[in-house]
Amino acid sequence: MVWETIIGIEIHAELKTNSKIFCNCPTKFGAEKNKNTCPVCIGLPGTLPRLNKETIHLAIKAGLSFNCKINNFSKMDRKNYFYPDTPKAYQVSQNDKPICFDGFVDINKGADCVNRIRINRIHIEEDAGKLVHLEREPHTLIDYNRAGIPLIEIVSEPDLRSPTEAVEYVKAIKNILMYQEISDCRMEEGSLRCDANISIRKKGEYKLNTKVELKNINSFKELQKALENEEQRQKELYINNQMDKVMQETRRWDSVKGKTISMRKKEESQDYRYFPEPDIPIITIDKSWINCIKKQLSEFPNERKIRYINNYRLKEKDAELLTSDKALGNYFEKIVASGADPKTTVNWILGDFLKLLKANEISVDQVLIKESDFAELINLIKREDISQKIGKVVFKIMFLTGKRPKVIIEEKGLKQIKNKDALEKIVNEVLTSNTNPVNDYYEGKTQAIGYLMGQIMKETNGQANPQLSKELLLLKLSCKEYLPIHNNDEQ
Amino acid sequence: MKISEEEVKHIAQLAKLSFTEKEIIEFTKKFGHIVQFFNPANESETEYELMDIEMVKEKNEYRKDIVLSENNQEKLFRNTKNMENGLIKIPKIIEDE
Amino acid sequence: MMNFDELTINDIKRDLLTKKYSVEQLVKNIFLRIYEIDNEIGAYLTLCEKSAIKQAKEIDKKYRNGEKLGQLAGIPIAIKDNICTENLKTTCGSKMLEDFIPPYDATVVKKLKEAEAIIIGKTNLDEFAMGSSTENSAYKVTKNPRDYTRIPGGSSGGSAASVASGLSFMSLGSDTGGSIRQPASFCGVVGLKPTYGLVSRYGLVAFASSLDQIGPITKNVRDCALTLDVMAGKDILDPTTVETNKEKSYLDSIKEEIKDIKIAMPKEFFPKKLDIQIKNKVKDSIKLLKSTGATIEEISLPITRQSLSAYYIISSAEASSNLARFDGIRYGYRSENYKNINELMVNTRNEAFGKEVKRRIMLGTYALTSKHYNSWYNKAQHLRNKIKKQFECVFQNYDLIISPTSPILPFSIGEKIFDPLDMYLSDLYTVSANLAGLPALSMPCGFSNSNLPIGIQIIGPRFSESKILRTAYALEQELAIKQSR
Repeated sequence: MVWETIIGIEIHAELKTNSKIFCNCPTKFGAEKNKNTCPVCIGLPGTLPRLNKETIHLAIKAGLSFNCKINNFSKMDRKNYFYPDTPKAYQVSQNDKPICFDGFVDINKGADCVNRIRINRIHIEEDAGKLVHLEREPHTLIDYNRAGIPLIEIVSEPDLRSPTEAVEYVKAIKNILMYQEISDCRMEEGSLRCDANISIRKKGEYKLNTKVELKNINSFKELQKALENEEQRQKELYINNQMDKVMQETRRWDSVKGKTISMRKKEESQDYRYFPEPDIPIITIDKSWINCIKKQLSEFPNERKIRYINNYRLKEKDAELLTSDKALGNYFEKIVASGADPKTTVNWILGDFLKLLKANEISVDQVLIKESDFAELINLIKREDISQKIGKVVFKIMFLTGKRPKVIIEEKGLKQIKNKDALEKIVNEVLTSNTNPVNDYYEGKTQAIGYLMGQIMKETNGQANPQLSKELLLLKLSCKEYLPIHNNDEQ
Repeated sequence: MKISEEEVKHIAQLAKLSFTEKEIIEFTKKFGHIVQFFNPANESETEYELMDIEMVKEKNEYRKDIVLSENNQEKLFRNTKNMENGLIKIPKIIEDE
Repeated sequence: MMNFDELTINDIKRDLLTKKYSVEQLVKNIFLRIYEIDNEIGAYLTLCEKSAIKQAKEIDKKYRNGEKLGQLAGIPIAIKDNICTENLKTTCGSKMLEDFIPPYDATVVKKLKEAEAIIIGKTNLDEFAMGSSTENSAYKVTKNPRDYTRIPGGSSGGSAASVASGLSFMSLGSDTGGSIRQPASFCGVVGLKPTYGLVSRYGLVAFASSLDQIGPITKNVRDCALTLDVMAGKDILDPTTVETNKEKSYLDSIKEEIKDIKIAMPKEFFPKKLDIQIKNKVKDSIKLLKSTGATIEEISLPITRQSLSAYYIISSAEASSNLARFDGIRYGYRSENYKNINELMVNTRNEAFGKEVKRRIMLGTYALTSKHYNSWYNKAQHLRNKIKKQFECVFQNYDLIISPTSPILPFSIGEKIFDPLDMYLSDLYTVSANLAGLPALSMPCGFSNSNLPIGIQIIGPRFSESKILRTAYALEQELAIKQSR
């Protein structure tokens, strides 16, 4: 039996605004508990919401970025439910008139092949506060700093066919949101979250089976794992003829236990009693507003990729990697602008740089190396002021300290020895103290040269100019100055 | 239109209210009268527009995206009976039943 | 020294200027009077004597120094207890907010403070403004100052009673379906529900957001115009307020003639079974208006019954959502009887909400459930639109609509409290103005045989407060002349 997996994704992204959606409280992450709150966002009686214009602006921008249509008239609705993280016991959201609808995003599938995922709608809403659950304590704590931070919810159609595709979709959305500066998309801080709806059916069937909603997923890795896990769970139930156990329900992904846990069944699910928010007048969006935002759209990842291929002659795969993170591409461009060769720069970035980034668990904007210093390092190697090997050492120090390459080379005395007299002296020393390899050489074992070069490098901490060293070495050996004439002593 | 006790219980649950069995009987009766009285199905059919005309006419004036935070948190939360180190304390919430 | 029953804001302003008495004397006397008679009437829930006297002294000093003074400098006023006052308890007449002290002032309160009015205290109301008799207060029953066996109307019963009995000279009420006009009518004072969007709702604890409006209750029309001048205007904290470009103040516009005014009298508001005394007094007033040159014509406006349904569905639906925030977690009453979070919320609400509030929350929740949304809430919104359009039609040909404020006279305490439907019917004439967002004023137009006040209601198109006040002022003058004859 061949099975087909059907996945739809709801993404919640916090919008990049200074203030909250309905009040002037800051949106900054990591403030003192309940510090970013005011009478409006903790829902004190008598307070009224004042809609932040930037929220609509960014939502329209998102809509345009994902090829959506924009409603000329939109409105806010109340979604009523009691939960301690929701100060008014309703969330101001959008029900039947979202700002954006009917869009799509294309996922690259190698050369000239894209997978188009339809987007049902994008609407704005307020975030809820945060509940802090303490182990072994008999209570839960509430922090309302997050309450009222503006969100967009991006709802896809059930167009995704595998957990991997779902992850690619979220990555593509995230990338565009960051390119267009709509959201910071910091999954680790919860500013990008996703819920997934998943069902499976026999391949070839048209009807959709009961879907399960997965919540509490906060990284790509967890998304992949949660979906695979749920896919498997459903498949087993179908295979064992227990399809009645696949119920319309919400399941929470428990990353520690590595499984999904049922939260609530459909029949006990809430009746949200949506109705138009009477405190906020209708939102009217005219053409001129939309056109104005259209003009503000910046380069998209795909556009940048093509530019990189055309302008810098990069390989498609390299260009793809570079543009998968806006900050990474920006960094690359600045290094090139500082005078480094594009191809060499790409090799550095996709090699040592990304490795160190991952190992240190930091993002590009946290990197200490200035772009101009990066370029300088590349050029120092090019000019053979240092060897590639030393370069890597210097790079690592730059990464950790942010110091300029020249300063590091100076401090550590890593500059290449090109002075002929100095090198000659070292070559002589090496030849004198390595009589056996020298003998080998004269006996025709030319590979002894390699060993002797190694010794020169060892003596100079790798700073000896390799070419000059080799020339000198060969020259000395050819003079037969070091022919082992004292051998008789040992006989 | 008749309202059943079950329906009254369901509505109460949504509204986070509860009634004793005795109250339910009495309330259902009274509520039934009220619902009967106000049932708009009693009113003649009307044509309608989806959006409130008045509301569309009025221009929504949005707030500028500016941060102002001069709040005195102590005053803001002085009505909160269960603060602990700047956090509000509530009975433990167990997410999965 | 002071005849509190008669004294108006205008009188006080004159007396203060002529130094007949000081603000401090006035305020102290008000409190003496409150201690004397408010035990009986029960208009106030909270008094702020200390701060009032302190403020009085400051204003006296300003008077002495000839400093510039606010429009309401030294005028003792009262605030309905569902309007937030910074550092002053605001209970909404509910056990739910028995100890709630707002950290901020409502915009209207701020404006009145800037005009240097002196807040005497907070007045009683039906719990969360839900009721028509003030009997639904969790704290006390307010009596009608004209007849202590009767209710003062509601929900702004305390506010109307405080003005009628000379315990304040202006009070703020809130009107969702008649809660300013009906008690004003029952207590024999002037009450205005402004156009939706004229006065900021910021700081008014919401009952039904699309219907609520704050307005003044005063002894006469002049005082009403004066206080409206202070309160009205666009507020950035309330996005539903609207900028109005009026040429002159309401106070200045009341004295203009009303000759050119065309008034409609909907026959549906004068049915056969209407109390004959009410019918006669209102018709007498209409005759007086005619004599001043206004044109009056009978029209048909068949909306009363529909209005009542639409009103109760929409207001209860919004209330069910607005009152959901009272869950015992962030402020207000908190049950001590719970084992988990759900019990905390349910028991808090069960223990602290009164019967009427629960009834409306239930009705509103019912109307919003997915099962009933279309046939209830949506249908009610359609009715509301239809009502709006019918009013628009009338106002194409007429300037104002005139009717009784209430179909009944002030009833006895306890008379209707066990029959909510009968109670709801007393709002029959007032709710449509709220549904259509129109300004409407109630003013006294005479007394019944048993000496109970009768009120007449004037409704106008949106933002026609000047015209309404001008007409009311003219009628008030004519009634005074008639009475003195």
